[in-house]
Amino acid sequence: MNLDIRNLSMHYGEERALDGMNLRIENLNSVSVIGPSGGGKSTFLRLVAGLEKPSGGQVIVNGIPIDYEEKQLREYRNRIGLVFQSHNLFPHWTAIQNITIPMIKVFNFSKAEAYDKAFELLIKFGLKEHADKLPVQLSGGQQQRISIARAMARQPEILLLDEPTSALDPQLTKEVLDMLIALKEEGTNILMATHEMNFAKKAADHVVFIDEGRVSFEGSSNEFFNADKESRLGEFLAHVFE
Amino acid sequence: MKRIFKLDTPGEKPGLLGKTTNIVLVGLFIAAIFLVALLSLGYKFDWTVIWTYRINILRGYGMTLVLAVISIFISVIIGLVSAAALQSKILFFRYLARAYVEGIRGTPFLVQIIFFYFIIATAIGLNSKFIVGVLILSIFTGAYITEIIRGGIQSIPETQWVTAKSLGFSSFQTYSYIVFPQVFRRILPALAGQMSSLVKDSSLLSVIAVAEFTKSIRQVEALTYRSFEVLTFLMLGYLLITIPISLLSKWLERKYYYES
Repeated sequence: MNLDIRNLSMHYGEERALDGMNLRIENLNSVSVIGPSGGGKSTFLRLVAGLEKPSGGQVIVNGIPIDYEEKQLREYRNRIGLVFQSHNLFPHWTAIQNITIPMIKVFNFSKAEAYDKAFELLIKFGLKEHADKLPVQLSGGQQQRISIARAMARQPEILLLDEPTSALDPQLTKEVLDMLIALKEEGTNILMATHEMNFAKKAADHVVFIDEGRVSFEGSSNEFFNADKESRLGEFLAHVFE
Repeated sequence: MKRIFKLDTPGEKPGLLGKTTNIVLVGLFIAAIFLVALLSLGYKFDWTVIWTYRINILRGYGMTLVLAVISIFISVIIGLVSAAALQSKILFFRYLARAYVEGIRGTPFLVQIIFFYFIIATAIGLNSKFIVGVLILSIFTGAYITEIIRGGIQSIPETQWVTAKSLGFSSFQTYSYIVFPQVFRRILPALAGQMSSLVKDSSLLSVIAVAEFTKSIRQVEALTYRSFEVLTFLMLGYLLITIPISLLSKWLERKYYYES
């Protein structure tokens, strides 16, 4: 994926969630966005996902600037897969309905096509036996994996994940991360905000550290994990590994 | 003995024997009050009037049922539209819906009926009392249902709206596929309660001579002067509709309670 962020700002009243952020990513497959809570990670992802209109600046995804007019945004969002921390699935639909209904209603798939495709995904990720369960009958990890399958059903240019494992215990975290690693290896473009340093280490090509509304470090995974202990980044790392 | 009449704690479930005994006792107690009151008046009952006028009464009863069923449908539709309007980005719609809800909930139903019938219906040349009755009952109940639905909509967590948006659903699709189906499940008990109110409120339509249950009973009363008999029958007639609804509402409440 190519991502070009130019002077991106997002202000909520007095608060500057993003404050002139710049970032250029070219030909990268998996990028982890990390940083302290409230530093601007989620805002950044929401803007890349086309959920909100920035106060200023530009987001260019694979060469095309996002047009933040509602009508264009709706089309743009269809190019993106998005997974949040929790409650991604609609509780009144079964797992498979959560995947198929958006395909039918938004992408105009026929019912049969949608179900075929959804089953294919569920089988691939070992979720077939959960197809007809309601979200409340699934574990948090299964819910997140179904959400990721739903996001993949639209063959997104980028799969965006906003701390997809923060609400899970370690064992469930692992099953979600394993699925993401498998997707990465297949060539899916992943942009993920996370606190999972192990994932960043193992499966991210590139790490972006966002703090106080700007990118304060950006580089390969290797560079990142050998950061200077004295810098704010180093402090953050020491803190998360403590 | 103690087990039949008194529980150890308020949360304890009464046994079958205790339950039936006490329900029968309550029934007897209420009947006794009426009986004593009527006997002290030296009143002689004549229940045959009800049989004599059974056709009129049944017609009125049927009319009440038809009014209630049609009105509940229309009022739910009104409630949906105005609840959506309350969340609208277009401020005119939002304030219009607010004015409707506050206006209806803040004024007596009787005044609304008279106002609507003599002023609005006359002005637009609406002659059918039945249609006027249905409309006014729907508009009245719709305001209460709006508030019930609004509460239901607000109970849908923010993530679901954002997720729907990110999946490409339009706001109309979000409401019809995601929000309303869930809201309905949650508000069904409250809606059933509102339906019971609607049945009782429909009796006020008798003031504009809609031929519903209360009106038909009042006619029999005027012809026979048998007030006690017909009014007793009137009360029982309403209870026959409202008690099942109330039981339904309680059952739905329990069902939802276990699901959530």
